[in-house]
Amino acid sequence: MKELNKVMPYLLLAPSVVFLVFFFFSPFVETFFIAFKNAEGGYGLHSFRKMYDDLNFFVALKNTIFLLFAVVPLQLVLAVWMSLTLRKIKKFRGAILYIWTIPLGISDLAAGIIWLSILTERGYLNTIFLNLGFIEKPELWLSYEHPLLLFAAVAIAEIWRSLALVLLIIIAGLQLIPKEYDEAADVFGAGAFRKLFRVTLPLLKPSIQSALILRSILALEVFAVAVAIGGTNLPVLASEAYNWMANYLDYGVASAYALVLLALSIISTLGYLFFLRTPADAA
Amino acid sequence: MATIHIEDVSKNFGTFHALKNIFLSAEDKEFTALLGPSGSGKTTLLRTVAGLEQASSGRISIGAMRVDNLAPKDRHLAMVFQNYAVFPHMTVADNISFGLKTKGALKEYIAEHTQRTAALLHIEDVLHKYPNKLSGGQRQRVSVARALAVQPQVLLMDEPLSNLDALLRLEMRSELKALLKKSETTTLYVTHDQIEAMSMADKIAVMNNGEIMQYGPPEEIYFKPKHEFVARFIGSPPMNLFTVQTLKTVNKKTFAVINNDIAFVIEASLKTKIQENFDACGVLVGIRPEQLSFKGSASHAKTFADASTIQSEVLTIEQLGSNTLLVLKSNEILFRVMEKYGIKIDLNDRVTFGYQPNQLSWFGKDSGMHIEA
Ligand SMILES: Nc1ncnc2c1ncn2[C@@H]1O[C@H](COP(=O)(O)OP(=O)(O)O)[C@@H](O)[C@H]1O
Ligand SMILES: [Mg+2]
Repeated sequence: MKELNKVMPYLLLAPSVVFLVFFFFSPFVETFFIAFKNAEGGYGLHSFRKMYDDLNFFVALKNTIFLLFAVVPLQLVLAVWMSLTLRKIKKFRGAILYIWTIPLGISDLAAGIIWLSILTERGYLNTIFLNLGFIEKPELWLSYEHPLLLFAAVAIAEIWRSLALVLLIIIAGLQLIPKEYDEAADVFGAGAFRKLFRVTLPLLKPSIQSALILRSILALEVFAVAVAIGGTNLPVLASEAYNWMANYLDYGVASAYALVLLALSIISTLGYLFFLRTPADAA
Repeated sequence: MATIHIEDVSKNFGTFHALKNIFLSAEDKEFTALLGPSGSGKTTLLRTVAGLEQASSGRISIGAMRVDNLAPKDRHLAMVFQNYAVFPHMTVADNISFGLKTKGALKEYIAEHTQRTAALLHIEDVLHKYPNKLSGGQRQRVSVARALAVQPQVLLMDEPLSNLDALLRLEMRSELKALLKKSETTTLYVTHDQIEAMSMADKIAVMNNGEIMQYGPPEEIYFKPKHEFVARFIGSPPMNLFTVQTLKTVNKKTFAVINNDIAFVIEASLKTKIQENFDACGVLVGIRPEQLSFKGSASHAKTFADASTIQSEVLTIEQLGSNTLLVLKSNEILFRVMEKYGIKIDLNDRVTFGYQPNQLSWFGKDSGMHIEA
C-alpha cells in the first residue's frame, strides 16, 4: 500500500508527460536539428544565413516586434481600465463582461476575416463612408499603398481579438486583492491617481506579469490575422516560417524562423520576470 | 476639536435594515466603544462614519462639519482595520508614512515623524521590513502606527485586538489605552469583547440588531442596564433574570414571587410601576451573580418574614481562581452566584442568599425596557 502511494503520483502524471514528450518536446528538438542541418547532411548556420539574406526577414521581424509594442501595452491599459470600471458598475456587470469576452470564443482566422469584411473594398466601412459622403468611390484601404493603415488594421484586429484574455486575467487578479487595501488607501487620503499607481497596480503586479508574458508570446506568434487582412503585404515572422515551409518547401529556413520566434519569446518572458519581480523579502 | 455627532442614521442593504435610527454623540477626545454581538451592525456603523458605506438616511458630523456626503479622504480620519490591511508591497516605513505622503507633508517631517511613531509602537527595528516578515502582533502595531502617524482628529478601530492571542491582547490593550489618551484623538472602537469595552472606554454603545440598546459610561451599562438585552449581554456570567409569577403583599411589603423559595422584595417607590407593568405584560427581575451574598445554610422553609433572602440548592461549584462560581437550583429555575474563594458549601446543600433590594433591576417582560421609578 505504502509502495503504491509512492508511485501513484508519478503514474498519474505519466500520461501528460508522454503526451508532452511526443507532441511537444520531440518536435521541438527536431526543429532545432532541422534548423542547423546543411544540405550536405552536416550541421551549420546555413539556414540562418539564408534567412538573413531573405528580403522579407527584417521586414517580418520589424512588423512582428512593432505589432508586439502596438498591441500588448494598449491591451494592458485597456484591460486594467475596463476591469476597474466594471468593478464600479452594479447593474448588468455580468452581461457587460459576457459581451466583452465574446472575442475569446472566436478563432484568430475568423477574427481576421471579420475585420477583412469591414475594411475590404466592398466592406462595411466603405459602404458607410460612401453613404455619409466622406468618399467618392470605394477606397482600397488594405493595400501596399497604405502600409500604416494596413499595420493599424492588423493591430486593431489583434487588440480586439485577444483583449478578452488579458481582461480575464486582470479581473481575476483584481478579485484576489482584498477590498480593505483599497479602503485603507481611501481613508488615508489617497486620490484616484495615487491609489492606482501606489496601491492597485503594485498589488496587481503578479497578474499583470502573467498577462504580459502570456500575451507577448501570443503576439509574437501573430499569423492568421496578419495573413487574412494583409495577405503578403504585411509579412510577420510566423507567416514567413509558414511560407518557407509550405511554398518553398525549405524546412531548414522555416525552422530557423521558428527558433528566432522562440528566442524572442524567451527574451520577453525573462524581461517581464526581471522587471516586474517582487522584492525578495516582500514575496 | 473633533466631536462626532451621529443623528438618526439608518443603513439598509436592500431590504435588510443593518442600522436603525442610530443616535450617538462622542465628545472631543472621548473614547467610545461600540459593543455588541456579531452581526449587530458595529462594523457597518464604523464604516458609515468612515464614508466607506453611504448612510441610507440621517446626518453625520465631525466637529462642526457635516461629512455624510464627503469622500472618506475628505473626512480627516484614520482607521485601523480588523485584519490590519497593512499594504504588503510596502515596507513598514512606507506603510506608516502613507497617510503623511498623501497629505503632501515635507520629506524631513515625514522621515522624522515616521521614526517617532514607530518608536511609540516599538516597531522602530522593523521599519525596513515588509509586512509578511512580521508577526501578527507587529503587523497590528504597524496598522495602529499608520493611523496615529497622521495625527487624526478622529480614529476608527474595528476589533483591532481580536486577531491577537490572549496574552498579547492583554498587553496591547493597556498599551493602546495609554497611547490613545496621549494622542488626544476622539476614538470609535468596535469590539465584541465586553472586558475590552469596559476597561478602555469612556462611553459604551451597546448594539443589537442594528440598534443602540444603551449608550453611557461603563458603570451605568453594568449596574443600570436600560434593557433586558444589555443585562443579559454584559457581565460574565451575565445577570440572573427571573420571570415574576405573582405579586404578593405581606405586612405592607410587596414581593415579586418567583416560586416557593424565591421572592424579591419591591422597593416602595417602584411598587405602582411594577404593578402596572405586571398587569400589562409581565415583569422580569434581575440581579448580578456577585450581588448575591451567602448567608449560611437554610434551616427552615422560606417565609415572607425573611425579606431580602432567597433559598435554593447547590447544583454545581466551579473554582475560578480567586472566585467561586455556584450554579443554584430551585425547582426548575437555575441561577448563578459569584462568591469569593473559600466559601464553605457542598453540592446539594440547601442555602440562603441575601441581596440589597436597591440592586434589583426590573424589566417589562415584552418590551424588555427597564422599569424606572
Ligand atoms: N455589504 C453588505 N451587504 C449586505 N449585508 C451586509 C453588508 N455588510 C453587512 N451586512 C449585514 O449587516 C449586518 C451587520 O453587519 P456588521 O456591521 O458587519 O456586524 P458586526 O460588525 O456587528 O459583526 C449583518 O447581518 C451583515 O450580514
Ligand atoms: Mg464587525
